[in-house]
Amino acid sequence: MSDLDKQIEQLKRCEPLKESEVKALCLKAMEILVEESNVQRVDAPVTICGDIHGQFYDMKELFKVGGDCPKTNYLFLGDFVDRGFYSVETFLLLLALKVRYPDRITLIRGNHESRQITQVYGFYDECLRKYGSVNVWRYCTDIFDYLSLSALIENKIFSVHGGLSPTISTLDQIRTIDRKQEVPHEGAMCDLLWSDPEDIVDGWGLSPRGAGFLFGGSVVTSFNHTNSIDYICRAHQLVMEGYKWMFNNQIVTVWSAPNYCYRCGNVAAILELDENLTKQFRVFEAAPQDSRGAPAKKPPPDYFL
Amino acid sequence: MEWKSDERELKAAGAEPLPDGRCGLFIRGWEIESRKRSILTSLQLQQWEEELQTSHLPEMVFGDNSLVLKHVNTGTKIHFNAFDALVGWKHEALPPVEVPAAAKWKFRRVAVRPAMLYGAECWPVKNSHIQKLKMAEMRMLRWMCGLTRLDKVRNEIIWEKVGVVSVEEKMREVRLRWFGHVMRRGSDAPVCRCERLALDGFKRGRGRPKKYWREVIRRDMELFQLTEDMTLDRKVVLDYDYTFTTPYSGSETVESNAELFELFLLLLYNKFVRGLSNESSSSLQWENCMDKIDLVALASKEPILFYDEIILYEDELADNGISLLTVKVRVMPSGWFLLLRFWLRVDGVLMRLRDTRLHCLFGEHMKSVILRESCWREATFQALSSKGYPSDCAAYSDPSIISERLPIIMQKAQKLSIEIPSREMMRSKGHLPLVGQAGTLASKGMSYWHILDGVGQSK
Repeated sequence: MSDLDKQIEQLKRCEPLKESEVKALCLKAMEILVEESNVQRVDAPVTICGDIHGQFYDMKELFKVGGDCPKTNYLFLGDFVDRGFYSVETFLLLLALKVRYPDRITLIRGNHESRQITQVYGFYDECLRKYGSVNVWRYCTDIFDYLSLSALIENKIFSVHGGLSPTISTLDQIRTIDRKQEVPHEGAMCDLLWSDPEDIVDGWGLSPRGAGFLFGGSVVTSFNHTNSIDYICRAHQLVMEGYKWMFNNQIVTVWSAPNYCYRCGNVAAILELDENLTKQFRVFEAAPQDSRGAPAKKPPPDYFL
Repeated sequence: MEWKSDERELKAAGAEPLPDGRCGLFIRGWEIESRKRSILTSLQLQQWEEELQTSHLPEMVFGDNSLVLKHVNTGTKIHFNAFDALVGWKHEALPPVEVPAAAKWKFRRVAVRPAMLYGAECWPVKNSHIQKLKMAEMRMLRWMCGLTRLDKVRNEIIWEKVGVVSVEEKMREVRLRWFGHVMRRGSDAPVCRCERLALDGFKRGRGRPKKYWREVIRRDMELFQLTEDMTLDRKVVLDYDYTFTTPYSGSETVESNAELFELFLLLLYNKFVRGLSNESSSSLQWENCMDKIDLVALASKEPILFYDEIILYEDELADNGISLLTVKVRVMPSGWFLLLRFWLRVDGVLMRLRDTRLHCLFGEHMKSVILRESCWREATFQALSSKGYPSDCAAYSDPSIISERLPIIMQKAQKLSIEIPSREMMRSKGHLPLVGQAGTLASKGMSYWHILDGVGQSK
């Protein structure tokens, strides 16, 4: 058994790697990821997964439902880290699988794969807590810059974390983006990771929050037509039912973090495509409490004021 | 992970847990129950959107979560739920908080371009104008990228890099927007009347006829295959309070029950004989007061017989912060205490905390006195950093740490006595709170939140 296989076994038990091992793993991953296109080609059959957000034991449920990695071909749509308790283990396991089976798993970038966001939403703190230094966070965020921005399945299904951008109408325009950088605050790269489809606008809308754009049905129709794709598959938004079609089945949101933040009670879904691109959604629930390693502690009474 | 109470302590305090696996307890005439369920499904969300007449709701609405505190003998019910809180949000309708990303976006659109294109919507542009503007803009863009023409980088690459479209397209956009604007105005608006001006006694000179604005517009529309009515479309800017800030301080109803049969008869009398209507609920008689919640007594380590924290709604503001409405409750042998907290952090911009605390002391003969304190606090990140506090968002994940640093913008205290009404009282009053004094509902809006003077002046 190679070192890498041992590390994968270790990570599957939710035990983090040593700092030096993380460094070596990231270097290897960088060599693989740097070769990938901004619109990475993916062959069917493939299983598409949405946000994970550090919910390690729920990701193990995902693998139980979808099958183990080299056997099933996976495409993850980003947001591996933040919010959950096990961002380190979750991301390292996915990265180790990527290094071990580069052609059987594709990882693309989500808006949480960024230095700025991870400092606010948990990954930074988790690295500091688990390693006593921020080196692991540095290695991981450096790798984030190399992650591809989108994927194209059999030239028919376009996959991206957030959505479309008003500055992009063709896939070739995405291919020309220089992606090896921190996610910028505006522009095409930012929009791909941040924007959302929205029922009530028809063309482009602006959210009062200023983060990303909102796009309506006609935008999706013309994008799909221009690039002759069947539909867009994206993640980024919580869906109680695990997945949600919009605009006459022209775009689908897939969400793969069940019981999000350990309290929402939502189910999660993955989208399985066979070699003929026939769709099947597999819906699954959060891992049962007893399979979650750490025992449920009785919290002390809170004398809040 | 649920907190479990101690059976002996419950017994000693004369309390008993609720039956049938419900979460809560009976104590001293009160029935206290919390419910925690999943977030609303997509279908339920749609129904709520219709009922609240909005197309925006928080990402996570725990619509079936609730905390209910019911004084069994009087039917007085104080409860907390997401729906009523969102009604409050809808009603208050604050303007949206502006975030730096949006400000930056606006800067690009508001500061640089408009200076160049000031009034461009009405110019009958010639090609020579466009050439000049293009040159000026390329010079600026090259300068922004730190490049000179000696670097031999193509214009298209620079546009791509900076993420802007060419000034020509931009001019076309503002022109069409202006055209749409003019078209939407009534035909009597001054701007429209100009269009109809005819020049009498004016003799056209020799040479090429002058280019008119209408002609430029026609060309633009041909280029994009637009019709006149399409330019009437507006680009949607969603303008609503995406922070879901609510003035909610809890809901209240008075329910009749079998023990209050006499009251029920009175209600019928009032409704049909005196013409007073009784809606499904009526408000309680809270009185403004100067009393303060006794924090020292609350800090004493009395046994906690019941504790729970219930989320009503939460939104991650698309990863720009947090908006969270929760209610926490603890029940001790001497009374119950709860904290309803709206917590908002718009990263890099603003923090807002709206707390409502209710403290109920159990008295003799099932009599209870409830004190309600509301305290609203708010500060911008800028104000905090000018006071020397850290201004990165990571330092403010827990509102209880920051709460003292935020200046108070509104504060008030109210009191409510709950006791079983005696027969004499009923007779003397003629009707009871159940029916509601005629003015109760009307005065509710008036007494609602009188914000202290000096908002923003408090330093």
